[in-house]
Amino acid sequence: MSCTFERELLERFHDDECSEAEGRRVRTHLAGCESCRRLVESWKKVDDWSRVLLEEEPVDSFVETMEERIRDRLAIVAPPRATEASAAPSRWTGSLVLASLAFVAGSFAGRPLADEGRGWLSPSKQDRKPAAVEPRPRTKTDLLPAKTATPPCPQVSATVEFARQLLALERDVRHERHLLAEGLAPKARSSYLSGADRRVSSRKGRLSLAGTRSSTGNFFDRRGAYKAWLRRLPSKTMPEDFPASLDPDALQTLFYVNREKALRRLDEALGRLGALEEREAEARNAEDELPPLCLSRGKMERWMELQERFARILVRKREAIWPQGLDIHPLRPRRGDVVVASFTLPRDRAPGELLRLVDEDGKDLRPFGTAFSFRCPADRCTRSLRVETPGDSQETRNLDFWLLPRDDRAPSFDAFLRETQAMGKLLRRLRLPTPSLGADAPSHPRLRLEWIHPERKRSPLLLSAEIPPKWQVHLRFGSDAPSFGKEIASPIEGRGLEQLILPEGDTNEPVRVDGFSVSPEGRALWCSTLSR
Amino acid sequence: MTDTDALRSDEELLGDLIRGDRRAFDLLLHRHGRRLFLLAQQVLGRPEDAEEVVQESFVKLLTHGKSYRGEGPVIAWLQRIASHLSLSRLRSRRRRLAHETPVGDEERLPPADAMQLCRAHLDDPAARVQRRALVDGVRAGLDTLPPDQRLAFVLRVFHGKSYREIAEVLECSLGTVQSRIARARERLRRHCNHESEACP
Repeated sequence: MSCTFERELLERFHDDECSEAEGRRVRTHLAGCESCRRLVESWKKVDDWSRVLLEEEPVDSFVETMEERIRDRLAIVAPPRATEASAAPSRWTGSLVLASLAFVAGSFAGRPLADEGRGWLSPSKQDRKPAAVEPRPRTKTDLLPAKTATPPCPQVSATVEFARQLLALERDVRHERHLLAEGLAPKARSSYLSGADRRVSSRKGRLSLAGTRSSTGNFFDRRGAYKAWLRRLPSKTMPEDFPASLDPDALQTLFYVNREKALRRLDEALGRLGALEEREAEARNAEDELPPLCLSRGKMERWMELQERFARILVRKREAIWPQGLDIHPLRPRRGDVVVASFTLPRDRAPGELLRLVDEDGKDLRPFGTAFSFRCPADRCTRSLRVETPGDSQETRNLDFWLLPRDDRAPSFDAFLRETQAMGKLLRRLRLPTPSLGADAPSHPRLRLEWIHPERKRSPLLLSAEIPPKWQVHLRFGSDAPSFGKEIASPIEGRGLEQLILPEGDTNEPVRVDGFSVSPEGRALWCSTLSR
Repeated sequence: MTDTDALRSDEELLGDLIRGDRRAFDLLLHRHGRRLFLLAQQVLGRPEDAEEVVQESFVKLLTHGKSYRGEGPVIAWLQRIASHLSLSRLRSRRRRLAHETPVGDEERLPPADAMQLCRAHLDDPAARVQRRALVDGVRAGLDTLPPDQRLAFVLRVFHGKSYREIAEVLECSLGTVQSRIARARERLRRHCNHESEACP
């Protein structure tokens, strides 16, 4: 741009941030300056161009379900906030911890911690200081539900608990300092905070905060032993003399002198304990891909509802190199359904170079980006598509097929993905206690559903299950075909392995097994949904 | 939502929330969740991440509600929280991507996009695909911006915030805001020119 007019003013003019007089000056200049006018117009065009995104509003249903999901998750991780009465104990605890720390620190640092920085406060600013110490903000760790499983080693449990207390103590100290600093002017505040942090961060300061009653020599004598002890902490095998060697004062000292290392060790210990518990829980729940039994009733019902809603949207054949012919019949497309095939390919290759999909009439499907979509004709069933790989088929990977039902009974594919992702996250975060099933209830009933000829619609259906004594199996069969009826409920008494063979279907309509549950006294353990 | 609920201001709701009123939380979420979601999605680009940001923002509302001093509207406070969360998420995502070794130079269409394309195909393929390309171009352009510039630009152009409001959110000076927006615009203009001649 050749014009030397103030560009900064032009920018403010474009953003409507200049005064009336400045605006007049800019307008006068623009009337006579072609280059500046072009520049401002180009900014306007950029703004208009980027506002295209505004029209890409999120789907309403997604936002609505987002609210529901968030409420749901927060209901799990953060039960309704405590009222004043119930919040009081934590406030008291925080205050007590702080008071005791201030006392210890004051006795070694020469003055109480709470008095630090008072010199910065003028009387009016002191008024702005919160009257009482508020409970420290809850962190993510606090929001997580407490682990219910008993750690394998009581000593580890005691140590971890002790470490948690140390961390909480430190957080409280920091929070207290920040509260004190809130009433200060910005400069004084940063000066106060940096000074206080320096005091805590320095080795000497930590030692004084830790309140070591032992002499420095004694401390360094013992430090090696505690380091070795910390190294053994995650291993689950504690030395015999562990309780004797667990000296809280010394651990606290080590914690403050070499805090990063101690924190790392404790994190590792906590992580390993968590992983161990998870592995044990997984091992308990892994059989037959049962969903975790620690699901509460409500969550289980939600899980079942999800399965039922999305059962017809199937994902198949990931990581496959496709043969020339492709049978899409296992996807069970109905007339008018849409099959979407999405795949990955190297950036520099066009989709048509590597992969072609041809329908039963020999017509090429048109690719959109890295996906093909194909609507099944309304007048006949579609059983297969032909895949042609003109290039090197090895280059085409991750060919995924998705079936989208033709009507609106099933929710959109986006919703399905988001729901399942949300559910996955939910499950990972859930650590609810196992529901009580009674003393004689087996924890892992083995259930199996088998199809004799899954590719044939008219084939008989074999269901088998190992049903423990005193348990019942309820089967519910549903179908879109009226001849099958909506439900058959015939509880089967558990006497070991039970089998039930359904007769050959008299219709080509798909059959759906809606529920397969084992229940002691009506309490469902597991349900699954299959389609054919 | 009842009429009484609609009449309650955000500040009243926040006060009730601090006192343990669960319904106040639901109302605040219903009122502002969508707006925060839009902001986070425009900064981050991914709806899943945006949802996480909204959730985190409301977690902060739950945990830090008491520290609200009434110096501005609650929504501005929430937007500030969501902006910071989006910014840090964007930065960490870019850091992670910078450190990750790319597995292959692949471009995979997310399934959600596949679905949209499918719908586009069924309705009006040519127009939809063209539009899709345009939207993708804008997203790619925004992706080239540094996080600070991107957030400033989004707040200014998409949300119509003034320099002063943006400065409060970003906790920086008015001059910094202005320069960030100007640089973002310039970078987008260059991206546009590079990508397509149809763009400004």
